[in-house]
Amino acid sequence: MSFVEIRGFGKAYGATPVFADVELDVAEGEMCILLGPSGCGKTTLLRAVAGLARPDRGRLVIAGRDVTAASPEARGVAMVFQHYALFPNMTVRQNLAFGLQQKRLPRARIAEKVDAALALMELAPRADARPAELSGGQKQRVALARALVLEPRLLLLDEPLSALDAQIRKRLRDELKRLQRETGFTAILVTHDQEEALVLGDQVAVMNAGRIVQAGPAREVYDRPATRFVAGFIGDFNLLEPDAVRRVFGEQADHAWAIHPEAIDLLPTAAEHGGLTAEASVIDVRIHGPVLRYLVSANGTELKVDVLNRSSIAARCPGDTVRLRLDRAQVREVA
Amino acid sequence: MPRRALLLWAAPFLLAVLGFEALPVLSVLAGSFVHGGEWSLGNYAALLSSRFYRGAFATSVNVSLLTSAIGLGIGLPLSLALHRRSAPVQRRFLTLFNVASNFVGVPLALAFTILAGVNGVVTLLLVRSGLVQDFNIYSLQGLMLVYAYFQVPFAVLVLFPSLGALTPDLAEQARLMGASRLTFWRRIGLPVLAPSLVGSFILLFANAMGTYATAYALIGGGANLVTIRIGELVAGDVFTDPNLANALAVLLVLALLLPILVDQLLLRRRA
Repeated sequence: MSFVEIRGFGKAYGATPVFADVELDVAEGEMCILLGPSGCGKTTLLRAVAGLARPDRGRLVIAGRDVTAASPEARGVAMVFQHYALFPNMTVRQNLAFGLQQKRLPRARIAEKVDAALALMELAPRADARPAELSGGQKQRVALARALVLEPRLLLLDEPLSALDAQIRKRLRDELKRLQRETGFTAILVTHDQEEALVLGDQVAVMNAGRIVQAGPAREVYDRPATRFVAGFIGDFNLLEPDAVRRVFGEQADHAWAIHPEAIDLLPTAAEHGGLTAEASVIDVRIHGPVLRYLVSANGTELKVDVLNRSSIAARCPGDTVRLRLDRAQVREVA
Repeated sequence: MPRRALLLWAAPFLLAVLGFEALPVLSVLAGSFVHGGEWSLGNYAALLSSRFYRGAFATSVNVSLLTSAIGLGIGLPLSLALHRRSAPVQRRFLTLFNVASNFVGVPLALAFTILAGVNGVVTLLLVRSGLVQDFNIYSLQGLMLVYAYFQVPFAVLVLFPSLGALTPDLAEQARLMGASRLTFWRRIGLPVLAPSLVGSFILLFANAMGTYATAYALIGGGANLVTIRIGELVAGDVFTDPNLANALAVLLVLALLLPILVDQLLLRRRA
């Protein structure tokens, strides 16, 4: 039995469904990512798990207890809101202590737990600061510490990194992963950022138009997208319709082909080769840090090709003719 | 742009401030120190030693404090309720409150006389239904009712923008952490709103203290309010003493400045 079981969850506002037929299992100690575009219903689903939104249908079990009808505070969940929801009139220490005070813990025990949480998140020097005096990254760490200090059965995170700039976002993403490894908390995190989902998620559930269209280990979702939507949303796939497949690679296909940009090799035109090949000309080349992203055209079809950015490899220029090579096993057929 | 050119551009504004703000205040201030044709503190001495004028201050302050409390007491829940509605509903009601808060003076007094005067529609209905024995709008209680008419919408107008600080996720977060509604308001809601509540109260207090036409139109000279005493001393039927009125006006300004200064000090300490 899973630690968190969502069965047949559905919710609609009037005639407009927000999410429907949601089935999800989260194992204990697992970080499950709800990934999807804006407006796909992922935040409302998270709020329904928290008890802040009431689903019209379905059942929710957390740690073996049916909490479908339970009030938010009786579910044993903690939540980190997108904009942190730190109490502005309280210091960092008071923010952390607030939830423990509601549990009526002895004062000494509260101080002990708060100090431990401050140390874990390296917040001790800012313990007496108010939220307005903190940077975005610090606010995020306080929000996380305030949730973790309650030792919740389930931690819910609503786009916790989206309000931060790129640098801090990356650092906190790694920190969140380290924290989860060390403390072993079970979490459901909502994001629209596929990179964040792949880095953080033990399990990734991709949502579209209120439904979970694919759920599984991050690697599996990345390698084997089940639908063309997943292929388009995760991994930046090249999506070739059957007639494009025929034009580029001369193959017959029943369904569209989804091909990762890094699955295609760029070779000199005279190179020896095996597998599927095609002639192409380079349209554009962009530097994405460790990766070079080529945009090439093969028989009128544009393809993205990623190549490791090594100084030993001479970069090709727009207008160059190249040979594309693709291992057939790398192709995913999507309906 | 050079400094001189900047000053030239600002000249119309500076002239307006000088002519319509600074000079009248300075003239009132200077006049307040002229007593019997000589410079002296005589006006202030006369005012502070007079039970009549001290009484006017006491009545003005009492009416203003009470109607500010009523305004805030009704205005806060109203603002909170309005804050939860959609933007179009908010806009419609804010327009309505804007109109109501500016519906003062003779028209307001007349409206209340028709509705709640001795032979007013509402008074007659209430008396005939046996709910009240009699109700006299031309009293201090009546005046407070009329003041409440513009104080409540004014309170909503000044409080509403500050409610943005109380985002819904704060209440949700507190709830998830096990706090009751009462705990949320005691520990988070009211402390977060406190600076704007104090600021709004001071604005309401100033609004009530400065009200003249509404009170005069309703009760006439019989209401012993500071503004009515000033009016009488400037343009009264029996006798006038503009410099005594100046001193009274200066004391009124001081009574308004004091709470504003205290509020600023509190805000600075909190920051």
